[in-house]
Amino acid sequence: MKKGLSIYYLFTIAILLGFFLSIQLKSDITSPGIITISKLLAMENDVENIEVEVNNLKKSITELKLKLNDYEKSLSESGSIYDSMMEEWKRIRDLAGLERITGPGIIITMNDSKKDVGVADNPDLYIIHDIDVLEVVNELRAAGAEAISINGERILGTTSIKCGGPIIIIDGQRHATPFIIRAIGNPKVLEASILAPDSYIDLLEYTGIEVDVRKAERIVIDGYKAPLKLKYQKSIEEGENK
Amino acid sequence: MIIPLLGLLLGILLGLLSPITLPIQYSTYMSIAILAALDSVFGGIRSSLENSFDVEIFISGFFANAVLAAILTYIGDQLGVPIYYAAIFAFGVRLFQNFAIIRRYILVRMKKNNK
Repeated sequence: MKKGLSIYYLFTIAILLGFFLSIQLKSDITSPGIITISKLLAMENDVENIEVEVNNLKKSITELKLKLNDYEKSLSESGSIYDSMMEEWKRIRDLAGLERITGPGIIITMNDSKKDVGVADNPDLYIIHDIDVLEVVNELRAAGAEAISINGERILGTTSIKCGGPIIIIDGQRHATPFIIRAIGNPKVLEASILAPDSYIDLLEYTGIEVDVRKAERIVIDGYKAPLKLKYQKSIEEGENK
Repeated sequence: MIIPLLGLLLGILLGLLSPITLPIQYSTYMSIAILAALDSVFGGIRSSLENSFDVEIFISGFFANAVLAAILTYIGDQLGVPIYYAAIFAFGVRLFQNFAIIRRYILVRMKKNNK
């Protein structure tokens, strides 16, 4: 074979090779590498999470559709959507903690320790602090409490519980012992988690702080009394992105 | 030696300018195709140095190898076993062998010229 000819075939194949190479590099393929069992499991986990998310979104779609249906129904029946909007408004007020509500739950009564304080003991451990009340409230919330009040003061998401010397200050109101915490939720679950070993109350009882937990079928909790004000926050219009 | 390199550069340029991108599931096929082309180039250089270059063998070798490698890759994909490793090994081993032979030819030629 003539040598002159062979070089042109080589030339053609080299063009092809360069073409393939640059296409491959340009495609920016990050090789998944060897798929190990742990990688596979992690991926499965990801897929599961995404599926859960999708299901949640689907649920919210059906909820919104139902709401829309409600609006349409009331519009066709009474000519206005006033009634269903009123209902929604009530529900939102319930969720926000502005309404007087009732339901099953537990009542916790906390009182300072009546034990004699030893000379070497820290007397601070024998009285109830703001942080103790906060921890109990947090545990109640973790156990699914829907509404909580302390000495009749409704606890909201914005409520502050501060130390005020011998008393505690809840949303600017002074409260002294005994603290009566009412919580609406599943009484069994609330009691179990509040009294569980290693729960905060379990620790409190070491120093003799008196804690009494009672289940109740019907607890009434007042709504939040002080007016809610929004000074700095503004709502964002749909689609706005600032 | 320079003409194949020019071809390589031209091919790379073409690839960069073309709007084609590769879906990820075909990336193994493309890498196999690259290997087959590399193997053919080295084989071609070697045979042209030996003055035994045969167009039919060269072209049919390139396409047949590429097709076989693609089939192996496809079967491997279906079975979940990376059979295309076989093609990588075969091409890779031949690549180095051809390269070694090309090296020897070039070295021998350089020594002759020096004498």
